[in-house]
Amino acid sequence: MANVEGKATAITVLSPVKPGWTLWLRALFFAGTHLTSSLEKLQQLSFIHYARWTILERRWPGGERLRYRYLLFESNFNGTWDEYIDAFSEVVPTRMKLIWGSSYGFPGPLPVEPFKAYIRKNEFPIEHYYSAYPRATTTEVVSALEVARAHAALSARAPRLPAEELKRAYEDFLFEVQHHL
Amino acid sequence: MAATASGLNVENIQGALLRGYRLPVARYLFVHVSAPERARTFIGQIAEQVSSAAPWSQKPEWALNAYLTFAGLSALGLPESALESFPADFRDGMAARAHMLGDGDESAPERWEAGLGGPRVHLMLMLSSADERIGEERRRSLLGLIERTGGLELLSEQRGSALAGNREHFGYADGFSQPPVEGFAEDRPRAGGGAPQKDGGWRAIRAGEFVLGYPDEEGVLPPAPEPEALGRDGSYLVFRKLAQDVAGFRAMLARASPTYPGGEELLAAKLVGRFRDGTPLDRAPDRPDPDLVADPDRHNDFRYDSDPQGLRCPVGAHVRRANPRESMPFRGKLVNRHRMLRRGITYGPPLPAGSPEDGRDRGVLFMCFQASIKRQFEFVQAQWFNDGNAFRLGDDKDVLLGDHDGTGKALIPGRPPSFVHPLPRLVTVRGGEYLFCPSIAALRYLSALGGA
Amino acid sequence: MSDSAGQASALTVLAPIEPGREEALRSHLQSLPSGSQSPLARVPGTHFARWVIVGQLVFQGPPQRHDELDCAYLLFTSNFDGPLEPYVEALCEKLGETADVVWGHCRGWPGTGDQAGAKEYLRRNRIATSLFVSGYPQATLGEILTALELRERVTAFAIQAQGLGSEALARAWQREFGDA
Repeated sequence: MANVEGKATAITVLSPVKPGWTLWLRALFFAGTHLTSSLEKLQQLSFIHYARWTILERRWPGGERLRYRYLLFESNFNGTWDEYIDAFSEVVPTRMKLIWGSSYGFPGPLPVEPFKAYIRKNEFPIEHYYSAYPRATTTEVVSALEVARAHAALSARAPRLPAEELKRAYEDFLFEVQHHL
Repeated sequence: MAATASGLNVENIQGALLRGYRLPVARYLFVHVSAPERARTFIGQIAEQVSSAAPWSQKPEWALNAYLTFAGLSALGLPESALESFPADFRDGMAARAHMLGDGDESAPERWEAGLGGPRVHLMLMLSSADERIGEERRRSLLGLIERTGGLELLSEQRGSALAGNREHFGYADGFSQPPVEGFAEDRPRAGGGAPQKDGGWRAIRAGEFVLGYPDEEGVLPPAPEPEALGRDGSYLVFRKLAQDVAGFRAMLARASPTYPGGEELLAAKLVGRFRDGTPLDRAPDRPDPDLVADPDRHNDFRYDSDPQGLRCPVGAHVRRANPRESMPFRGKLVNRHRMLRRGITYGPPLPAGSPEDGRDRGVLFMCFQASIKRQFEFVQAQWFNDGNAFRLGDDKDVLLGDHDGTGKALIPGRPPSFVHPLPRLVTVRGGEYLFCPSIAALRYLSALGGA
Repeated sequence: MSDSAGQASALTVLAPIEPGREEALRSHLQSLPSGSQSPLARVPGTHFARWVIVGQLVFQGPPQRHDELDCAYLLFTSNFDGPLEPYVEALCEKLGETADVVWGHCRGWPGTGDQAGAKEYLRRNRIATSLFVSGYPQATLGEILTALELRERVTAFAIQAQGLGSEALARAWQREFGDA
């Protein structure tokens, strides 16, 4: 499938924004950018690599003028498409309603089947998808960075440590990073 | 729109769906329909014998239940419009979805037993009985009916028998955790069963997660086949014959134990999440506790919420993967829609302790009921057993069920952590089916198709 | 506008496709090699990228009124190590022939022979992001790839080193990780 690369799946959705709602959307996005707490829940859904929302103005590159503004959503995530939309629906339904409620036809984030149908209807297939690390999920990347950090610290000390101390330091290191291995 | 808990239509729901019979002998007959009209007559007669979930005044000595594959529904003459209303996962069948389930190599459908998983399997009849004699009697009676009716062909049979002490072949006591179904009077909500509540209590899972026609955890009716007479009070059944490599398991434990500080029994517990006697690690991390196990109000009462690191019960342990409880963030919201009702039984003779591999076939005839095969069984199999990412365990698969190729590891948290590597394949799929479990009225509806 | 979160940046480019060339472009994009052979792998700092063809807008039903595109559009999005300018340059320089074949199906693409023109084209057709959520804002592509490989080595080492005494462990550590 063209929207899957290794363990990464891509989703691209375009939906028409109801007139008069753009300002609200922009304010929402502004708040999202500047209030990290409101993004926390989304980040806790650790299987998101990246997620982006973009407002397309009525005038598109090349000069064409459209009737509506459009909300472009794109994301890279791990796990299945269903699991992903399920999680958005179950965990951050209010956020989903705030963002997509401004688009025509949005049935609401709950129950999930109509929400999925809406996303499917407005999703575009990907003609070419690239991931620089297709074998690694988001949590694996986060874990790897943690391991690298702790390993660097231990490596710096290791040459100076006698064997007994190195063993203790190594065991401390392992204890610290065990959930990242 | 929250739904109030209404009673379930227990007279119409097949008994095996809501009730674990605890009858120690089971026979499964896989039948092919060659003459639809004859088969429909048969279904009509079966409908009168099928055991429902209506209350028992006394536990019966035997119970009969009947299930159909998609091919079977088609063979009976179900019209196209109804056939199209079934979901894709069921229509595809288990063999066609092997890649999603991790059924490759030795577990691949090409290597499954004849008579399991092929397109000719139409009907699965399950006979549960209190002992071998009664089982054999009922089986003969059923086979007689099949022969007298005509138009049906027996493809294969499977036999299950419970092991002593409610154990399975690797030696673990089983069956502690079954989600109670909301609205089923016999399911007394016990601590640990169902969905964890904020106040420390537990609530039953909404019936619609398992039975079609009732509100599910989202508060809506799950998608169901049409017409209503066919779908209502029905469910989907996953049947899967899993052969267990008992000698291989014991060898793996023996190889890994010397480097594990806690010893072999503790290691065995860490891989599964319970000691072999059923003591849950989250409650008793150091040694088995027979009193705890014997108390049904306590032996399942744990949440993992105070052990996110998995120092008591490893995050990748089998029972923790099967039901993460409060390991997942957002308090159960990501778990409640992935529960199943398990109704399987072991098969094959036990391998005595210390005996080498004897070449006998043994394992479990796994069965589970759910309203959505994809969201429940397949999801848990693919995302929670055959992968570890949901638990921040990367590629790590479940030690017991994982589709191992010898490169995987299991990590047991501790100071220092321990590793079990390599992980051999311990369970092989010998065959399986996706089946529809019609209500009793639906069985009658099917028997009346074609205007007969 | 937020086109970045930590070190991660995003680029979105929307370009009109020459009438009649949509199918050819689609077919060409689908034939591009994937994984490490993808032309996008040649652009340093690219974490994820995609090409999508927006052929027509989806009508949601009343009260929305029909909104039709005059032509199909090529959407390109990329998540990369910022900042933007060097990345746009790298896109034009490193994609080379691929850029010409892909964007060559789009109206007004000057060709990579005119590097300045090509960069200007991408800049002109760029759409700014509104909200960006990233799973891990603090790492470059290089850091991520190095860390992933190190994590595998550490795991393999930890498995082998189980039960080793301190002398043996020290030697093993030196062998595996010494001279970093």
